[in-house]
This record gives sequence, structure tokens and C-alpha cells, in this order.
Amino acid sequence: MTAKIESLGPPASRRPRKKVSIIPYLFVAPHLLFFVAFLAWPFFYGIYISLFRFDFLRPDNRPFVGLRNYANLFNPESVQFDKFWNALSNTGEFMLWSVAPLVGIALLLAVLLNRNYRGRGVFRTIFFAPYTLSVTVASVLWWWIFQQTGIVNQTIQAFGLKPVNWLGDMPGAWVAITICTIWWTIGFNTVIFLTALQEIPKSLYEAASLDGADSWQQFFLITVPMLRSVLVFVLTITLIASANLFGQPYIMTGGGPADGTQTVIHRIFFEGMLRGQMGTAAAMSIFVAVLLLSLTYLNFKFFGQTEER
Amino acid sequence: MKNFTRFVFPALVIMSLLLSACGSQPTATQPPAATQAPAGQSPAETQAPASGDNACPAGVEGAVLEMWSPFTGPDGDEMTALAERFSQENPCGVTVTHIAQPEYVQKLEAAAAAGQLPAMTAVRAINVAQLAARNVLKPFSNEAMAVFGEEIAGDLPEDLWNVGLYKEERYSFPLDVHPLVMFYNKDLFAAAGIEEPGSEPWTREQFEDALSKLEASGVTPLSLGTAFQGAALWQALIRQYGGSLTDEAGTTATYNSEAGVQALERIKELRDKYTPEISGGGDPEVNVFKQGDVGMTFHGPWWISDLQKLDFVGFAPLPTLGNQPATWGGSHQLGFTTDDPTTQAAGALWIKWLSDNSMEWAKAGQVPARQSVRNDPALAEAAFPISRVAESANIVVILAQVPALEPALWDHFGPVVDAYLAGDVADPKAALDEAARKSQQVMDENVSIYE
Repeated sequence: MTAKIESLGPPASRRPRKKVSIIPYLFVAPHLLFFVAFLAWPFFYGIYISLFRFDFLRPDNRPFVGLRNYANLFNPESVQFDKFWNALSNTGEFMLWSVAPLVGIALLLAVLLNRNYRGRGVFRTIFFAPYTLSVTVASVLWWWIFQQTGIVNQTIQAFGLKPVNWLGDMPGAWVAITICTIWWTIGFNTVIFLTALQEIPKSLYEAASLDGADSWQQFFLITVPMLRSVLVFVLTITLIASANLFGQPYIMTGGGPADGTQTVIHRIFFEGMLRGQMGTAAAMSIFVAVLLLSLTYLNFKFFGQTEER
Repeated sequence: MKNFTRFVFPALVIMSLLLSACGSQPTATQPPAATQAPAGQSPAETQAPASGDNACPAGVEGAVLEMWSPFTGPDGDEMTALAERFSQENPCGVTVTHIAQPEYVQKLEAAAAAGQLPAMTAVRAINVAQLAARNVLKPFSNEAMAVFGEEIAGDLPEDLWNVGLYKEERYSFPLDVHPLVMFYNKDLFAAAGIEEPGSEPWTREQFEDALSKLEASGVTPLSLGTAFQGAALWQALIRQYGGSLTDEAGTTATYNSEAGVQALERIKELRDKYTPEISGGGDPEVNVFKQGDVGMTFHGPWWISDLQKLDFVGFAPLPTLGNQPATWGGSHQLGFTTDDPTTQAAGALWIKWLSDNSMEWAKAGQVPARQSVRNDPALAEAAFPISRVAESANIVVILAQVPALEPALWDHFGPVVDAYLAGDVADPKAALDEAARKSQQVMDENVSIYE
């Protein structure tokens, strides 16, 4: 998004003109200002921090350690190794749990909400509404629901089954966190799909039905191919959002049981804020950012191929 | 809260300057204020001569300090009430700002980075070294130490007093202790013919006797869980078996000793033999006990205010389950986040007053650190449950004052204790060895960071 807006500037100036117009830059400026202040500068400062043993409360005690903070992430004998890789694999596990439903169910909902029936607007509002809540509200709500004596267990018991320790056991904790996340964020993906669906010309479906295609064929042969670029986009932002999971396990399980739902962002927070080791925390962040960039690149390379060329 | 610091706080400063009792007014107003203290304040009265002569160090009259506290329950209300009383009775005042746990320490550190620190703070003893090493807590000035006088150290358990020292400088003053204690069911004890424990910890024989009598009377004798309770009890038992978590300097992890294994096996034996099945979050072992069918359980004194609403609950120190009395515990300490000697002197006046009046603090459910307060017969009237467990202050095991020591240990032995109690670990010695090796890695890194 950002790159596109910025690229509007240079072409204007490349035209053979004597005077460079300042207008395009003024248009870009408000965004650029915040982009630099809150993204670019912190990112490069993060790289700088990651080269030191950095404690923000001890400015007189910040030795330069070179790449040692990065090396520690790959050294099984280091303090950080076990917990960092445990957190990284937890995050990967959550992505396995969450990405497919977040994309699949959102697409299904969008198709349903795109039909013509009474009260469509109401349903659209209802499905999008949770997205407007803060992570704290959503998490505390589901934390309550999944309590030992919460509504889920009460319902289960009403059917004569044994209650489940959702938040204190595996895989109950992941189930609870995943359901919370889907409920909370699915509205966003749904709205994007919905917008894209409305862009597909009706004539395609009319032509297909004249040719005798049933609704499944219409879905897989018209809807899905027409949504390809949007699918790649939604898949990418969902992958990134899932990799950035923090609030839900932080509030619902505290990272437990036995660090089983401690995500990589939680680990970075722990290392930087609780242990005060900003240097290693920054190195972890940079490493995770590189991982996500590679993932996004692969995503576009494999799923976005035809669209790109 | 912002409005408070912006408007109310300066307003208080100005008002107290106008109404300043010390210096501008004749000193004759001082004695009546002292006599207004409620009856039963014998510690304050007996030490009045000591505090009387330096009640108002130079330059502190009219000062109003802000103190941060992590007490957000009923104890927070008590702390606020005490601060208001102190401000009325003394030439300088204190306002208490309660900051919600968790991450109290991180909030202090963030305030330090932003230059927004108050003058002083209440803090858990295990955090003192880290906060000192990271320049959040400031060492006590000579002016502040002069306010306390020489005798006060003798009225405090040595371990609690020494835990305020980091690199041979004083960074904090012990206010209270929160030990692991015993809660027992008086009705079930009576039915089983067990004599109720006194204020001394039960011996191992008395404990065993109670277990078998409860079992014979057909009730579940004990409620033992995992998580915090398991790990805290295990730390108590290591000491009961003669071991320790670390060496004296707090630089070597030693919990994988024979005592550590014995302590683990002992808890597992008690759990397997005498405890019902316990699961769920939020201290389930206490919730089971609250239902009234279990003889006893062990937990922190923060449960007292809730449990004393139940008529059948009795309170006692942690019994000796191993070879010698000892219990796990923590301590709230008071420290300065400013190094201005005059402000510190005023703060020291408050700390001393609070310590002298910690009988009131006991009502909020905390065990006073001061020996004279704990020995005072009035404690039984002011806070009966606290008077039953107060002796624990002398057997509490306190960790050495080394930055970030507790998480370095607990993060690694905690999962082992849980896994062993759940029956997922066959060889406790090997599991503790591995945990201690990891603890040692973190401790070594911490030493290299903070030395």
C-alpha cells in the first residue's frame, strides 16, 4: 500500500520539466511523516539496538556485541534458544490452526452474505461487529466462556460429558484461542471478500448458468479464479496477523500451560520488557520480520503468479 | 489519575504548605496528635521516645511525597487510610497511588525511562536487586538511615532486614512477610479428635498424626495442587530437608540436591495418598478446601481475608513435613525512587511510622515484619488470623538479593515440579539436574549483565 502511494511521486518529477513540483510530495508528506516516525525509524533503530547488549535504563552499560544476539538464537547452549524456538513453533502451530478457517470461513460467509435476501444488511453488521472490539474485550469475553465453570463446560455437562480444562490443557488452550481469534477477526476478511465478490460481473454467472453450470461449478470456475488476487492478499495479511498473535494467549492463558501457547511476540515482550534485554529482543524481532517477509514473498510467488505477469 | 497528579496533588502540596504543622506552629501541638492514636498502639508508644527527637528532619515540613503501591485489593484501601492518618499526624504527608499488578515492576521501569517516577514505592523483595541495578531504586541516604535509628534493625528478622541490601547498600525496608501457611477445617479436626495447632509450626509427628486421624474419620485429609502451590511448597520443603535453592551468594543453583529430590517425592507421596483429584485454574486446591470436605491445605496469606468469612477455617504456620521447620515466603519492602536526601528523610519518617503502626497493616491481611508488633498480645484482637501465623516470619526462606534471580530459578524448576506431580517425570533427579543446568545458564548471563 505504502509503496504504491510513494511511487506516485517520482514519475511526476521524472518528466522533462525545469521546475520540480512540490505538490506530489505534499500529498505524500502526511503519511510519510508517520511512516518514518512509527515504522521506518523504529525499524532501523531496532537493527541498531540488536547489535548491543541494550538496557534502556542503563545507558552507561551498553557494550557492542556485534552479531552475538543473532548467534544466540541459533546456539542451543544459549539462554534464549529453547524458549525462542518453542515460541516460534507455537506461533507456527497457531498459524496451522487459524489461517485455513480465517480464510475459508470468511469466504463462505462472504458468499452467503452476497446473496439476495431480507435482512442481509443486519447479518453483514453482525458478522463484522466483533472486529470493532479491542483485543482485551474479545479475549476476556472468551476467557470467561472457557472457564472451568464457564458456559461451554456447563453446556457440555448438561449433555452428561466431563468438563474440559480448556485454558489449562492442550489442545484445549489452542482451541479456545483459535475460536476467539476467528470470532474476533473474521469480519475483516469477510468484508474484503464481499467487496471483491461484488466486483465480479453478474454476466459471467448468467452465461455460466445458460451453459448449464451448477452453483458448485460456478463457485470454483468463476468465483475463486476471479478472487485470486484478493485471496492472495487476504491470505498474506492473515498469515502476518496470525504470526503476530499476542493479546489473546497473553490474556486467556498467560502463555501456558507450560509455555505451550507462548507466542514469539510474547517471547520478545518477555525478553525485552520483563528481562530488560532489548538487544536480544530486537534481534528476535528482526529475525521474525525476515521470516515473515520470506513467507510473504513465497506466498506471492506461488499463489499470485498469474496475477503478477 | 492524570487529573489527580495534575491538580489534586499540587493542591495538596499548597494546602499542606499553608497548614504546615511543623516549624511555623508551636511544637505544643505535637503531643496531642500523638495521643490521638487509637488504643492498643503499644509499639508506637513504646518507641515514641526514639522517634520523638527526630520527628521532623530539617527541610521536610510541608513536603508531600507520592508513593506507588501494588496493593489494589482491600490492603490498598488500608494503605491509603494509613497514609491519610500519617499526613494528619505528621509535618509531612504521603499520597499513595495504587498501580495494578501484573507488570508492576515494568510500569516502574517505564516511569523511570520517562522520568515520571514517584518519590518512593512499595515493591516485592525479590525485585529489589533488579530495580537497584537498573537505577530505578536509589540507595538510602544517611539522612534517611538516621531517621530509622539504630534499634530498628534488631526488631526485624535478620533475613528480612538483610534482603534490603544490594552490593552492600540499603535499597529497601521490610514492611511485611507473606509466608506459605496452613488453613485447616476446625469442624473436621474436632470430629477426628485432633487438637488444633497453636501459633508454632506443627512437628512432623503432629502432622502425620493429624493425617491418619483425618483418614480414620473418613474425610480427605489434604488438598494439594500444582502450579504456584506445588512450587511454593516444594521450595519450603527443600529447606525443611536441609537444602536450598541456591548457594548463599545466589550465584549457583543448588536445588537439584538430594533435599530437592526428597522434597519432590514427599509432596508426591502426600498428594497420591491424601489428596482428592484437583484441576482447573485459580488456586483450585483452595476452592476444594472451601467446600468444607477437606482437612487442610497450604497457601499464601492473601487468602485469609476470604477464608476468615468461613467459620470453620483455622489458621496456623506451615507444619514441618520434612525434618525442620521452614516455609516459603515473600516480603513487601519500601524503597526510594529519588535520591534527594531531604525527600528521602521525609519518606523515611513515613516508613518508620508505617512500620511502627504495622499492627494496622496486619488488619489488611499482611504479617508485620516487626518482631515487637508480632509479639504484641493486641495483635490477636486486631487481626486474629495473622496472629496465628505470625511466627512464620522467623522461618521464611528469603532468596539472596541478586537481580532477576527468582525467575531464573522458578521458570525452570516450576515446570519440573508440575510435571513430576502430574506423573509425567520418572526420574526426578535427572529432571532437576537439567532444570538447574538451565537456571545456571540464565544466572550466569544475569551475572555478566549486572556485575
